[in-house]
Amino acid sequence: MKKLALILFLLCSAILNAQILKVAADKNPAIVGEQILIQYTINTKGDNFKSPNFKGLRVLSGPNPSTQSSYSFVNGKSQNTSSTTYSFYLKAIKEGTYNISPASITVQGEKIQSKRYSLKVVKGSEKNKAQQKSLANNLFIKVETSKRNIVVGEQILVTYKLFTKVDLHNTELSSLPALNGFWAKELEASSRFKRDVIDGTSYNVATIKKSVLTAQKSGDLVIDPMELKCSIRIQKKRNNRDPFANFFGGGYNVQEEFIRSKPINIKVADLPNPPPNFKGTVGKMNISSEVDNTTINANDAITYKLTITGTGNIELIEPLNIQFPDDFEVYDPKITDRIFEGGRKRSIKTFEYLLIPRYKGNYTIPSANLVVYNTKNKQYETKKSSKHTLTILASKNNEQETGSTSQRQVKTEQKDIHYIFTESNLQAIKKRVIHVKLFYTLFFLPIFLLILLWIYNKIVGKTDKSSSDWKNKKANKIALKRLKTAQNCINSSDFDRFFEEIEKSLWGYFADKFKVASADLSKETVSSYFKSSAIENAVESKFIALLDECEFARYALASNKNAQMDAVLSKAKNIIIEVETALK
Amino acid sequence: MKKLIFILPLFFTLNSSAGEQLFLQANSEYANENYSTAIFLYDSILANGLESAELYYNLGNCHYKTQNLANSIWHYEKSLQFGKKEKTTHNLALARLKIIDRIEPLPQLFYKKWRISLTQVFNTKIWQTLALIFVLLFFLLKLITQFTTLKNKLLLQVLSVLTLMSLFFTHSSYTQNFVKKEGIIFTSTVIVNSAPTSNSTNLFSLHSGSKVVIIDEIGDWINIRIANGNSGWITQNSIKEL
Repeated sequence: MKKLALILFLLCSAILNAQILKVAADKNPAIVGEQILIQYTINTKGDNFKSPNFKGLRVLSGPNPSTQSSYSFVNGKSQNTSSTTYSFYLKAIKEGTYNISPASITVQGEKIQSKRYSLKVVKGSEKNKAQQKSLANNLFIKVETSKRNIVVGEQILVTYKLFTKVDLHNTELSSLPALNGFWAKELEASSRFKRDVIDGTSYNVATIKKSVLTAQKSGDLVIDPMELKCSIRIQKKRNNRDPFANFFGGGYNVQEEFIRSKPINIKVADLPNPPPNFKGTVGKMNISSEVDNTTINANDAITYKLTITGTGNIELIEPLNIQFPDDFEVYDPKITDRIFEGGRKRSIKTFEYLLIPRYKGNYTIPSANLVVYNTKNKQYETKKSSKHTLTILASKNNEQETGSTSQRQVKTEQKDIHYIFTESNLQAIKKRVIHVKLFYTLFFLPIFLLILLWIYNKIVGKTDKSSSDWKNKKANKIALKRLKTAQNCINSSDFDRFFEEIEKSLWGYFADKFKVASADLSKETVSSYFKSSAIENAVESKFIALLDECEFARYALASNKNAQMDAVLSKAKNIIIEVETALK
Repeated sequence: MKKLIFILPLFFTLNSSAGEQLFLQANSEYANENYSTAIFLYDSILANGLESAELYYNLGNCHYKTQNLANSIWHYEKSLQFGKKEKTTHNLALARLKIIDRIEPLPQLFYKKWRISLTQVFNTKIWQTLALIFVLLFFLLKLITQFTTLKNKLLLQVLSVLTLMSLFFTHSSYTQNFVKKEGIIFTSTVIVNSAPTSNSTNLFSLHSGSKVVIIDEIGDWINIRIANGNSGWITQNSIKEL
């Protein structure tokens, strides 16, 4: 018998040595919304547990490992057993059948896998639903916004409050609200519970989150829900058989629940016709400025402080465009903002400029202008800070101011369009141009007339012999042309060549005019041609006389050759002109 | 009816002193930064059938101040049609810096540049008058030389050159201001198509304030070319002709 027991024991331990990873659920099928416990158990110590994939199920917590070990001593024999359990708390949101993939664990270098587990989730009964509902009534997040209809740039205060009637063990933010289209600024929130009564029911209320949202774009914007994981303590049902438990107030079950706030729609409208210098500042604010010292030496520092106080998107205000005097050195401002700090109702933003005047004189710092859209009376307002007049005295170390190195170039910092014309000669539209046809008529009329005149001269000038003017002019021209070389000879007082040239030109003229070959040139041919052309005898005799004179002069010594030359030249000219006029 | 149309502008032109009055009134509104009132007054002068380079320039300034850059550029360009003024070109350059499109103009040959800048020295009317004066002088001088013995060849040559030059610039100025059609884009964005149909390829896009040259028109579509040489088709309503 003993032997048999020993064999059985050995067998058992052999079986026990073959490790398996068991999987079990506390309820299967489970109900929608219910908390499900799934445990993976192994009878030995293992490590490197890999969680299964709970697709479609929400993991409330896990894996939570717990180890149990027992040491028993029976009949002088010691027995040591240990087991490890990994438990998951799950929640199903929809009904259906969920296939949970195997989990795995490594035991002494060997990987052990669990089985696939199939979990069925069914719809809850009415009672269950009611229970859920009552929970929703007892534990919820309420989002409060200061306004639902705003304009771009306007701020709203959003408060997330947790209302509870149940015994909360622990809360944890599981997802933060997404704030698309908003610029958010978190404020301090006191998370202490206070008592508050809604519809006659008292709740414990805590402010979880408080933030100031600034709308950055227009349209319907949504503040997405916030999700909170709450652990609720539920007292176990009284177990009368356990006096100790009763004595210590009984045990608690911890149930985990997810609660979500409702999404909130905010309507954001565009700003109505913003003025050109509007930078998107919305709210109700005031602007003030101060200077620490109004009388100071050149090259000493002044602090100019610009303070903006009020409500609105003050933190988004960029440094204002202040036209500091040109002779001041201006450093970038030091910006500090206290946005609703310490529970304040207003925000404060300061710009602190460090200015260093470089030259002595009286200067004015103009007021800084801030255009604000007032959401209350729906108007744009220009807030102005005060002007400051500064008296800058001469620098303590004089040489720097008077030295040539401190000379600076006059430069234009900004460009703007020129001012309008103050006077104008207004004229009727369409009178900007002389009509094209009229213009061309007027333009080409004189030219046309000139052309007509030219044509007239061409035709009439040739046929009409009586127009002596015309002919004289032409004859003159011809004579001058012929006697050009002779003229040159006078200028150079070349006597011999002069008479030769005169003779040559006269003969040349005669030959060209009457188309006589040079071989036939003689005084006889002259008289015959002249006669046939009906030229007077006087002209003929003059012509011949001149030729004789030239011939004679070439070989004779004359006392006053210069006077003779001039006389001969004018004679030759006259003769050619006479012949020309007689021929026409 | 035709007579009436003819008489109406005459009646208004007689009223040019009233126009001056409006002009001065608008100037004081501008000085007080009431730009929209000033625009209204200046526009009423235009509606009365009167215009001037200064009027268009002042209107351009008003539109510039009210951030209406396309309108501002249009009026500056209009003002330049009356002749080049330093103030106008300066303001136009500033307004052009503020619009979205920056179009790099094609490099032009030096003589073309000279021609354009010389053409802009006077407006078309002055060029026309100059041409007429020169041709008349030429004509008179020619007559004088013809019938008397007085002679001045050099003066005649100079006059003929001047006449030809002024005729050339008159023509150039006339084509520039009256024949060559230009326009300013007025819609904020316009897509330039490759053909005069809405489903043709989109070549590029232009934004308000850009200047285009109008080459052709087919129905509601106009063929435009911009300063960098690109061309395409846009709808007529997106542009205001100069």
